Amino acid sequence: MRKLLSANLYAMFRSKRFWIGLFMMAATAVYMVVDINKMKRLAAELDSGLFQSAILLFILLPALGALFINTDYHDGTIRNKLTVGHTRARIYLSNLITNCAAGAIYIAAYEIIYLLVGFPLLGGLSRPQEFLIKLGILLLVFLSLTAIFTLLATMITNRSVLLYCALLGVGLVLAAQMLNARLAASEMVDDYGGVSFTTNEDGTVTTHYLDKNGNPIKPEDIPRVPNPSYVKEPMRSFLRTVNNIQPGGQLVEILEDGHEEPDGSKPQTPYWQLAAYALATSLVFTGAGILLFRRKDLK
Amino acid sequence: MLHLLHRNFYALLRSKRFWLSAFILTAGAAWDAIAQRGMASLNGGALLDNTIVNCAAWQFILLPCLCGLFINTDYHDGTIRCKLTVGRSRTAVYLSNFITVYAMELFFMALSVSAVLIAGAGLTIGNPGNVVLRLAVLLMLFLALTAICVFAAMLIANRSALVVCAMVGLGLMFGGQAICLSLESPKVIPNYGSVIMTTNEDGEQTMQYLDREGNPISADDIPMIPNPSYIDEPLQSVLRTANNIQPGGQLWEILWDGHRVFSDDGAQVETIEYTPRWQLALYSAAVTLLFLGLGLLLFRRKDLK
Repeated sequence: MRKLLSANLYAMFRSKRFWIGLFMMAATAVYMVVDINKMKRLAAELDSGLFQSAILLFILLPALGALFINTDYHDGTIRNKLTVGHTRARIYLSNLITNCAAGAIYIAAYEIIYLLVGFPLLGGLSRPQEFLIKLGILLLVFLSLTAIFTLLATMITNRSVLLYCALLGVGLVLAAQMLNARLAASEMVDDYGGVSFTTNEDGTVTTHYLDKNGNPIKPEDIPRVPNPSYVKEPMRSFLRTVNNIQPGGQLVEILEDGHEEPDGSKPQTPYWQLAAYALATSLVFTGAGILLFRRKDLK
Repeated sequence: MLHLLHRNFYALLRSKRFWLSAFILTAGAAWDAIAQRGMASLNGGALLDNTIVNCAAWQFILLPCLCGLFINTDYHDGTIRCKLTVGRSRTAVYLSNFITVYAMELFFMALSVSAVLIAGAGLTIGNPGNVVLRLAVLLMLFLALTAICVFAAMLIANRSALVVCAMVGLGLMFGGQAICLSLESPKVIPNYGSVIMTTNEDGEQTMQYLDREGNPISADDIPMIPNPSYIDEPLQSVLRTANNIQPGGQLWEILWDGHRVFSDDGAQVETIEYTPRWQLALYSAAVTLLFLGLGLLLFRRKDLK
């Protein structure tokens, strides 16, 4: 196992793609500090950009990881590894650990550069404890993402796996945002024709609602109609759970500090729950991956 | 050339990925139209205009992926050398790939638009002329996107061409969106703390602004401060032009039917401005010619081992 890890890490560190990715993370960190520094006057703080690179890494890591694993199939080195006596479980786990290590290095590089550049310009962190908790969960989220794309990249020997993995991260995040938007739709909606605003002499702004014929209507008289976009139970709970389990949903939950509900509130899924889901996802996909890889015909 | 095209289309039509993508795009477009039909019962006037052009966003992600995969197969299987060995010129090989990928896009577009029209039957199109014009510009921008992706896929023989093509599509699309949104920032913004909404006995809703210390403040007295996110000239014009030229920026210009602009005097008046459609089409044509020419030139000199 140690030899496999050593070979993997050696190959990873010699890869130009890995260093290009690292450069992109470092550049993003500097850009984020400069961008937040411009907003300083509007009470922007260092904490707001701590995890903004996560979406970029969500796209980068699966693409790089898939390229890394697929190289073994492309060059035929996977058969060499088996020939010299390594078990399939070890090969699978060493690939998983190497990809996790790459993800951890990218996250560490971003955070270190962000904080080093950010401290002199924006001052200290206002909620350091929250930073550490979120960082821990983010690492678990990336562990589950890595488990998913490692399974894909190991089971699909074809080149097309590179595309599936490159689109996996984007797909998970976009799906999470679409689900959140659907779940935030209110059950009933106002059915009015338009709104007009007038500024009074005392400087306050008055809102007038108009019905479908353009006549003024009182807010309490506006008819309420069922919203066709509202997601009812049990689908509602099901979709919320799916979003809490899948890494894209977890990432959005962490970045946006919760999710909007139809009543306007913004509850947070407990962090321990997100962590438990991420761990469970990692274990399920890694277990399934090892099981399927053992039976895979490598020709 | 005809033989090459014939062989390319044969390979394309036998590809499962091609049919899977066609199915995904058709189902997505039909789903959008059905959702729009649901909204029609709410306000009695849902239009199909935007739904027809919105399907282009999914094509923008899928086309580069399929293009990379299709062209890279020639390198992976070594068939590119077979094509050259039987006497086809490099120009013919390059152009046949370009035509095949663009024909695939035309097919996807026709499928998506048909799916929206069939699933949205009964809903009206508010401005058919504008929709046709937007579709025409979309076809031109996809021509430019095809030229860029074929350029990348033909010159990178390695498997990483697939990732590069996918990233080009995503980068242009989301980069274009980010630039569009940042260019929409107003020059000055109101600097107040919060707003309180109250409903009086007549049912009128009144907004009371509060300053940063929580004191009531008249709407007219809210101080306007420079927006730190505002992009000043000449960078504003540079970015707008870049977004008008690159296919991802053009995509949002068409999907959003123009771009929002705030007046510079602080009045917070928002207007929709349009980059002329002919200008977008012209930029696309120029990008296509540039990448085709450059691609042909570099591919002729490429060492195919």
